[in-house]
Amino acid sequence: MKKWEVEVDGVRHLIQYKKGFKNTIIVDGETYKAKSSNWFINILDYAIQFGDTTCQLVIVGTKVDLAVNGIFMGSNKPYEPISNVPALSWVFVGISTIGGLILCGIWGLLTGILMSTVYIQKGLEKKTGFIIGAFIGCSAIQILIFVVISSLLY
Amino acid sequence: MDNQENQNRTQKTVVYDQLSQEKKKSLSVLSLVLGIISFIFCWTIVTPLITGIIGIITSIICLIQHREGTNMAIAGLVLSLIGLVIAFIILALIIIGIAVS
Repeated sequence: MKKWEVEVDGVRHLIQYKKGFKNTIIVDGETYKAKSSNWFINILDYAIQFGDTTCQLVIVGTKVDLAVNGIFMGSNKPYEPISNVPALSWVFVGISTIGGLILCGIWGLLTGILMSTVYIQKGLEKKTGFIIGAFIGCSAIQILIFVVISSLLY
Repeated sequence: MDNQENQNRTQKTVVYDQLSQEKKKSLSVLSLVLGIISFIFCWTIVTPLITGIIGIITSIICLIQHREGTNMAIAGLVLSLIGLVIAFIILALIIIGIAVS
């Protein structure tokens, strides 16, 4: 469970994020259900509004951070909405996960999921070259797993 | 002073999903992904039959409903069709080969 204390207009608010079978956001003791926008990776971008002040809870895979006034509390980096992730990253996420599953089963899927978080995180930083490199690397690993599994089976 | 503090405490907290507010182009991305997969795995015959058909359906839905990402939907449609055609050609060659032998 992750906890943050935010002070808005002199009032302290406690924001908690609980990861379990279902994601929950607890704001000052009040529970809100949170749903990931992706089938394979945990991706959330929730806004928590206290009057005029808005906090953004961003979750990509296992990375959880809260942005207050446009600055992340953990990394001190400026807030970037998940909707700004380029389409290229989402296409690579799909190919790596579904393609990996078809090519070499569960191991391919796991490799795809692991690398998908990299595509999204680097997509937010607009590092297209890094994303393409990571995709090539991921595909190479999946092909290697496919070759190893095939040689063991046949 | 106390009154003001109480007012602040009773300020309504609103929690909402920012991704659901955005116009979604997930269906066009899905159609492109399925198109690419059906094209790459066309040699497996079975995979393009599944992914290709779903890819064609999703891209047609995107194009009919004028969703965001039309270019991706068109690319997905073309790749799905190519994958399906190649798979059918390979299947036909296998059937002809078996019949001849």
